[in-house]
Amino acid sequence: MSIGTPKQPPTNTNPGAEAVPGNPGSPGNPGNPVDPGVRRWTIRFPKSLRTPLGFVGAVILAVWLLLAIFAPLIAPFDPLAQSFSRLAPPGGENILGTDTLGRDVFSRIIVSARTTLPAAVFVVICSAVLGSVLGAIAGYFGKAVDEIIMRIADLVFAFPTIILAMVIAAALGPGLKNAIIAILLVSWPSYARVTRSLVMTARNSEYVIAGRLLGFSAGKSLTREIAPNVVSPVVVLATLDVGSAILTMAGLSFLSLGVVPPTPDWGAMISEGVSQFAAWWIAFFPGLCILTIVMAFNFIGDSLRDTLDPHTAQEVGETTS
Amino acid sequence: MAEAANEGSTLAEAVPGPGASAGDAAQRIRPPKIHPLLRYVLVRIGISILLIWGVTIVTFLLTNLVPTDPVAAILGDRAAADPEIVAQTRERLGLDQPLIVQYFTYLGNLLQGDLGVSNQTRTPVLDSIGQVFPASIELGIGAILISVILGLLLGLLSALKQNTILDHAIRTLSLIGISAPTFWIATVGYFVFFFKLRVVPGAGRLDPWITPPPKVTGLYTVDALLSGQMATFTNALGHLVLPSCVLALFTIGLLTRFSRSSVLDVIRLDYVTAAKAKGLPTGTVVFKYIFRGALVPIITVVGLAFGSLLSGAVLTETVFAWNGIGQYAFRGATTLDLPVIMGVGLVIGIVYILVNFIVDLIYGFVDPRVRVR
Amino acid sequence: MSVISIRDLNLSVTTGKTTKHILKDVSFDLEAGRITGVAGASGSGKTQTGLAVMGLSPAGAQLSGSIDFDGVELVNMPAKAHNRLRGVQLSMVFQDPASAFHPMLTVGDQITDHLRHHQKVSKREARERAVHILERTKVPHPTEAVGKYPHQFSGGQLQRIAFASAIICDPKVLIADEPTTALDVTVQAGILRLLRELCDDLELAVLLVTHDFGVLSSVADTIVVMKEGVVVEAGDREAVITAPQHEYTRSLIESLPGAEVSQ
Repeated sequence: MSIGTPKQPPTNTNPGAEAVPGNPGSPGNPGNPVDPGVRRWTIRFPKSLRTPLGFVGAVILAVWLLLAIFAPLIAPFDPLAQSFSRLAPPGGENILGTDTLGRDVFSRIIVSARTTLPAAVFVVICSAVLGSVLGAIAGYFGKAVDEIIMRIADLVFAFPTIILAMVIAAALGPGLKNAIIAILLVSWPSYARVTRSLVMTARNSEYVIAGRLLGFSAGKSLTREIAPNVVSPVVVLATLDVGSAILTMAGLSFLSLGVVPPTPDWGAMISEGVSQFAAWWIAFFPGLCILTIVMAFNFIGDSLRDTLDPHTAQEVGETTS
Repeated sequence: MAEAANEGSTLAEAVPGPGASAGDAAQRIRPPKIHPLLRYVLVRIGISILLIWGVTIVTFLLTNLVPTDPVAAILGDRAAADPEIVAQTRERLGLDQPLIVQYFTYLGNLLQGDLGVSNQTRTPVLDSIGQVFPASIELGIGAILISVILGLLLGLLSALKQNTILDHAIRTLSLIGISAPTFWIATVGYFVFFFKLRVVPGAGRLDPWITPPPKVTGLYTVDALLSGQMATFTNALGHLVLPSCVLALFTIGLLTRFSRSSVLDVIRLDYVTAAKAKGLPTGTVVFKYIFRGALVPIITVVGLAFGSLLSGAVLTETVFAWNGIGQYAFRGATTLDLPVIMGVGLVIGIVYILVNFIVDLIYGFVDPRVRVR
Repeated sequence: MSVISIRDLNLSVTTGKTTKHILKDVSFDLEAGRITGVAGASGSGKTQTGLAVMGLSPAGAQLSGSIDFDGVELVNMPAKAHNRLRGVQLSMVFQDPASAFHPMLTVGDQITDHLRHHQKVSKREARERAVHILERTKVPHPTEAVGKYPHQFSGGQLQRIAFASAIICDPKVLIADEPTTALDVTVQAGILRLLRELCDDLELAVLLVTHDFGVLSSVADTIVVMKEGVVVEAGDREAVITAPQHEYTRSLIESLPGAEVSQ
């Protein structure tokens, strides 16, 4: 395609595009096998977040992080103490009201962030690492290894996410630890798929082949030459995935398969509020917490994705749910 | 005409494989002289059967490899303390057999429609699911219709007005849409539209004083129409509105985002410029050329959207007291009724695979590159 | 007489805060029954000149100067009026025939939908015209061809179908943007011969855009050489090839395979 033709989109929407990975399949410079990948280690996070949505997301996330870290100082009451009149409406002593057992809703939702946020980030990091490693192995070695790993991934994709998480969590028994295992088991395959296809394109690109001809070991070519192409798409996918992890976790506790009472948890609080329509605040505020924090991660992930190369962005996909 | 003959010889190679998702498997297998569409369908059937088989392995392993002892769950605490009764029960349940034998017993039972018995109600799981399933189907159809129509239109609009305020607004709203927990939206929606505004009817599939129409399909709206009960039909439809809108919210966001990027991919293709160069009116260019081209990849996502609708149903039906598979699953989950949960997981997994199979078929029939040789 | 006369055409495209000047004071004419070939490297603005005539300049483009089409000014013409000319008076053939056709619509549908829109022709008559026009452009088995999909044809056949689509409404101007670049070398000559025939028989004013000077030397009547948005040389084929005035033209001619042999 000649550059003079108008096939290129007339407006380039991503000013930061040159900073992030180019097409992973681009042959690069065969004479200098290491060069094309190295710069791609850096994602310019601050620049990516200069889009309005990214900025809003970052601010909301920062607020939530502060709330979670300083929760014991901010929460006015003991989240477990049943020391107030039941179902007191918002305002007055309990700014967001009290629940069916007379516990302070505000204290409970603040403290709940301390379990939900670290758990979600932890599970996403674990599944990103697990999925990428498995995907890289599948993509790099191919053949039987590839078949086995990817068929297991297909099997996970054969279920809607929350359904499989529900089945696993139910089998393991309720509890935060088991919910985390369930989410880990259902979310690694998307990383495996993305990593696998990126590794396969990179593996066949000329600079990697050139590296192998220079005598690089499989390990060196995976970590030094191929990994740089994979890191930023995986980071973007992971950012978007924290949101889904929080939603899945909330869904599991809504089904009483997550955090065990009386530990405060947003999903469980909404579950409690379903039968209490007159006391709308019990369900409303925890849901608002989930919405804002998932939104923050989606805003950030979306603006990061916009700065990715379009082909890679398509791999990462619009549909990470 | 020598040149034309020359061109004719390259015709055979000029047939490209079907689309990316279909191509992988279809291209590897090359039996001689089968019509490409037939081959495509056969490959899809094979993949679906393998996946369903895999799903049975997953549910089997989860039921049998978990720390909780099924014998204790069945017998209750007192009987479980007696080692003799435990041993008898294990033998009766076949738990003393090797795992592989147990699996084939399990598979045999599944093939006969035996999904086990609920620990709580003692009713066969398949019977219960069969009773409640039409309710979920009705809800699912309502939600998928709303989300496909709105999602595609919003995505198309957003892409055509790329980088305008409208585009930014639609993108932001669709991001918010996929960020909201469905069961919370259900609660809030029910509170606002029923409890406060009274613009929608209350929970359930019908008002309590209305008798359900005679069962044909199990879908109240369809059955009411079939038996000519217009009042029942309007009532059922009214009850359907809020739950299906709530359920659709997430998938609208999903489909809007996907169709936007799909349309943007198509807009810059040559055939769109070629259509414009023919002086066709904008409406023709948009709907006949752009939208049709963008639709093919979108079709494959509809199956995925259906999966999130099924997940959403499990989490929202309880809020609306909608007596479907979701409420059944919710009850099973909250009472840790393992046979129920596994049964629901198995059935939803199979339904999801079948839906994706149908979606793949539609895809094959829509795209002439798969359909015509 | 000239059908199209381009005078001092300037085109700049603004993306964000940067403005790029793509065409600078471009002037040349297209005449009925003659092929005007525009040569130049990628980015020289040759394609954009063709698109400007069609009124399909990219978003954010500013045009100034004049494109006179039989007394009608095309520069900054209202979009609707321009749309009435496109496909009827002004038509275009694209570089890659495989991507210029919609994969999900039949060939017959795609070469007649503008005919039916512009001339309010019935479905059956459109089909007859399509078969006739496919015969005219030497597509084998035209009656069957109208019901087939693009993937069932080879590139050369598709390009013939593209020419059929371009001439079905009897246009006066045909813009052919690199019509042979994406094709096999073996079928390129056939397509150029077809272009020549259509031009002569239908009295078309043809603008042939190509980076391949060899193509121009075999088929063009007039040659325009562009470099970085500027016309560096224009004239009759003989004159330009035998006595190039500009350094750049000379380098293009010398780079032709066999150039040393013929000199």
